[in-house]
Amino acid sequence: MNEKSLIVVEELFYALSSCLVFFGFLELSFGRLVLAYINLNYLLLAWLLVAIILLCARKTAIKP
Amino acid sequence: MEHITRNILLDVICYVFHVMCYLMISIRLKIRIAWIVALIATIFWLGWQYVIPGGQVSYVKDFKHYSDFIGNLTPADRLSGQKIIGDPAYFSLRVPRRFESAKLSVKFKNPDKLPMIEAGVLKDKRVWQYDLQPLENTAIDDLLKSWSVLWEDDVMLLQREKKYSSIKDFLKAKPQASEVAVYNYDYQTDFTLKDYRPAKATSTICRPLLGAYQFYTYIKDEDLSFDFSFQDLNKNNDSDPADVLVYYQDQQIAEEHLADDGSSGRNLKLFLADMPEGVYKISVRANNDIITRTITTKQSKLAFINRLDLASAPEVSCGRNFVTNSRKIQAMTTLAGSLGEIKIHQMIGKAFSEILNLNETYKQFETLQSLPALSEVVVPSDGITFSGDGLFAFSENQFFDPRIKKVDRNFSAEGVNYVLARYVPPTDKNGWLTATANFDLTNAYKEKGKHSFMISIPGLRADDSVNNGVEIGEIKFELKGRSVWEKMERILNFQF
Repeated sequence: MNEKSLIVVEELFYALSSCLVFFGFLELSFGRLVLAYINLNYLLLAWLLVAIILLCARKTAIKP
Repeated sequence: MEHITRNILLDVICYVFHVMCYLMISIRLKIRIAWIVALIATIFWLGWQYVIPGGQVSYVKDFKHYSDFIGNLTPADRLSGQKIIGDPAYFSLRVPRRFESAKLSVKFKNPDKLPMIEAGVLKDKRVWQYDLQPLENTAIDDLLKSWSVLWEDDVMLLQREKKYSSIKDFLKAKPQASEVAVYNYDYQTDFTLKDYRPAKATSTICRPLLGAYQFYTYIKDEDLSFDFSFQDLNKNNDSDPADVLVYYQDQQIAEEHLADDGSSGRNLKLFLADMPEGVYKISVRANNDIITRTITTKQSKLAFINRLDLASAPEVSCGRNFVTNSRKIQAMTTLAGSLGEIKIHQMIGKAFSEILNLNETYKQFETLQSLPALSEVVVPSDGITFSGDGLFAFSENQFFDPRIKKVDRNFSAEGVNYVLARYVPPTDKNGWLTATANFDLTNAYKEKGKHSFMISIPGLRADDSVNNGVEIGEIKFELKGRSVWEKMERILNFQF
């Protein structure tokens, strides 16, 4: 994976992580505020997928 | 409003992205700014949806897509897919904030021409009272094709032969009550009993009644006096208060409250002096943990409205037979010991009418044929709930019916020359009927942010062999409440 793609994946991971934290907090504070419009299951799946891709990409990047 | 805010947010995001491109900053920073802006915009949009600053919003359930606001139709045993096959069906409306009114639009198919479809919002959970509004009334729809019709807003006057040129003229002229039928309209009549004489002594109704009920009474040159003796069964741990409300000409004129003091037996006295002659409606509101043991009154007329719930009290020796002018009677029991044959006789001549064989618990049984104008019902045991479209009284002397004929599922236009109704017929589009009903949500019951709604189709039963029902295609709500600006204005004006 080239450097640019790695940056994009990294930023996507940070974005999805932030979304999960903020949406989770909002959902706990104001019931059904987020879940009425956004399915957090899909967000969690996307976050997991990006995290796996990022881990694989970093593993290949640090290989000598 | 929703799409406007969404467009504005998208514009902001695009603008930020263009600025970033122009500034030629690093790709990491560009992406970071973009997702932070997108996240803030999404949180702002969610907050907007939650607060609804404009005070107006609409929610739709088309049964193809998930709606978090409008719940599914329940219970499952009265449904076949989206088709309601048993009366009534319920659904909920979740509201993120307080609203004052709701306009409900229901898209449905009524292939079996079921006579009445109504929708309602739960007003009082204790007595399970719904504010019902019409969706379809096929009897009125049929009359619209052949009778002369006058409209004033959502009120219609149907005339067999055109006599009045406006509803105002009709209300002023007040034709004989026997010629008029109403639907969803409070039509005031000066009902009087010509040969009525006040009773000289008090009388006691000693047949125990379960939960809430309503009855009509009549007074002339006498005080309105009732003494209710309640028994709290204490089957549940909740507080079990009882309220007695008095209505005169559809206006509430008095209210008595009896708090739950923990004791089993409680009494409530209702006394109103110097009241004008006429019909009074008395509504007893209590849950099913309360039994009315006795009603002691000076009034000689007492007719229970639409329902008689005989409490199970085997130690009471008072007669449980009653008279009714319901054209059809429904009976149900939850007690195996109360099963048996209910005999129905014609009041005049005592000719036999029908036997209602109550042979199963938790199942509603209905008389098959239309009953005579006044019937006597011989009840084998207590613990049976009776309902019908008419009034019920424990003796023929106590019976009277001050009501105007109603255009309900048993309606017959025989003898009726005028129909006054607050009703707008549904519109037909591609075989789907769309009807609207307006509800006041200010006093509607709400639990965990949800209002409870009902679709009532009287006479529709899931447990019969007939495969009839009403298919629901779409449920839409248009909700209106105070805008944030109006709320702020009220706060600034110290109006809370």
